Amino acid sequence: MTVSDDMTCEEFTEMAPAYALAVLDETEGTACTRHLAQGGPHRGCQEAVGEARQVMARLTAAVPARPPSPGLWRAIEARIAVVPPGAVDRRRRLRTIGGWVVAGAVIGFTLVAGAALSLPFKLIWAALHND
Amino acid sequence: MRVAAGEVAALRALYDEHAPRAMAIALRILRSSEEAEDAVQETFLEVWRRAAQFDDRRGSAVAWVVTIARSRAIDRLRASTVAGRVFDGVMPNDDVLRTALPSPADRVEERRDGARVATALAALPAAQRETIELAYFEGLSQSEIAVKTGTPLGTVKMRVKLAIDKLSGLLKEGEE
Repeated sequence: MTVSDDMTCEEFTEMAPAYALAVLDETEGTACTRHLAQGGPHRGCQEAVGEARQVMARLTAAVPARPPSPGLWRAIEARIAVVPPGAVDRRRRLRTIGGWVVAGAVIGFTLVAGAALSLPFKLIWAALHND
Repeated sequence: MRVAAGEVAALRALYDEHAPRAMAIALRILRSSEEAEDAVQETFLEVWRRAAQFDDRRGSAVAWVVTIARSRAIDRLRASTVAGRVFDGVMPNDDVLRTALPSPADRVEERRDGARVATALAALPAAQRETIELAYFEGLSQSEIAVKTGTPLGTVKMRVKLAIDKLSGLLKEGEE
């Protein structure tokens, strides 16, 4: 199946098992993610992914469950103590805001510095043409 | 999801319930207990950070955890494939059906579930079963499977879809 920019829900649901398995090539995976992110109405897209993921979760029963070592939870607990839930999103938002602030500051500085540097030339120009 | 409200106890409950499955799939893909534990650690940190985005239309909590664990394991696999794959001998390279044989220490329900899944996998046509094993348990993409098996990419895509659809039906039948 080829991937079009405006994937339909029918095309998506055909690819949903492969999307849920994360076995699509990058272009196809990105197109599927973009399709899911589009506002609705969708015709069974989320549900198709959900169903495939349920199958995947069941498939893990084909390998023996393996409890992690006792130290793993302690390691996770130590890391979440300094990372509140949703921290990634907040950090992203802050980075975005920070980026705009820096960009604004650079533009502002450039305008002010440009004006300041051009002032002497304007004065000289004005003095020459007044004569 | 209570984890989204920052309840460590809720994350711990989720961990107690699903970490052994997350570990199982990470270990199957990575074949290194150390690497698998790192992948599971990343999984639960991601669950903690992204709990507010959990959408039950896209599957249950266990499906979400397993999906993340598998993705993190595949990321590590691809990174380690570049650097030379790690193997500590904890999981021999046997096929899925043999690893599906339950150990005596497993709980009864887990044994039943394992047997149902093994039966469903065994019911797939051989080519579909091989495709799913390579995709799900080895972490190969459809293109990689096509190259590895010398099969046209379109055929691999069709086998993935048919296999998942068929497994979904078979596993539902097994529950009834």
